[in-house]
Amino acid sequence: LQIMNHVERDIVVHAPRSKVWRAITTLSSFGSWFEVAFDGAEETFRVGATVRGAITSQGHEGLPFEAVATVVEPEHTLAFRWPHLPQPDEDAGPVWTTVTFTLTERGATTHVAVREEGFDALPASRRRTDAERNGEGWGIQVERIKRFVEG
Amino acid sequence: MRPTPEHARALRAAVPLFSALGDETRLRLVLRLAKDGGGSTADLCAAVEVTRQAVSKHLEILEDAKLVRSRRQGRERQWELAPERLQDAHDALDAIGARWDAALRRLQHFVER
Repeated sequence: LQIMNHVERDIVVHAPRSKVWRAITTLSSFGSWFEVAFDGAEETFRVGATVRGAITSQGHEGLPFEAVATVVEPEHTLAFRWPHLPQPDEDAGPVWTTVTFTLTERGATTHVAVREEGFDALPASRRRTDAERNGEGWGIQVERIKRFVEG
Repeated sequence: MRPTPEHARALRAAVPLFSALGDETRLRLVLRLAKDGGGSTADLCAAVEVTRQAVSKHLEILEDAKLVRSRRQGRERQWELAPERLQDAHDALDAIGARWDAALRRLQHFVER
């Protein structure tokens, strides 16, 4: 019995694994599809090195981007930690989660899996919210909890 | 994925909850409360088969995370679930998942073009 506290998504890309690997580890490429402009201090993800930039996505331009690679296993695994930064009115430190990309060759295509985890890591200080809302029907809640729990 | 301000807030609010539920006994307490709609400390001790002291401690942690509420009834404390918090956490994960879906599609276009 375990709470579901990670996110997993995947996609199949019609390209060789080496090409996908370059697209996720070379920062200029990563920035193109992830929509972030890097500051140029680093060219690729390297274990232990912090990469920084600014988000270019419409509506979120300029938000800071920061990540530190923890695993760089060529053509197979890229993992990095990044902070989910608090809002100015929040009394909290950043929540650091870990993102892992795993590439698997499937014939001429590449399976790309991404997993983000660490949502249970408490920040340095917790924000207490006083907002309390009314609960809903118990049946619905039990279903939700079941969906939420694995094992 | 990269959070929007609203999403970052939802995620942050969910963190104590994920942390509180990262324990099998507490998760069993939550499931029990969800099924029964509530119960006294004694009911819960019997349900999860741990000592009263341990159950009280776990319930306090859940109450801190605002996952359960309690009120005193006679000599016993009555507990109930605050399920809206679970929904918040679920919504936060869904939002992150949707953002990763969008990012992976952009990666696909980038590589296949």
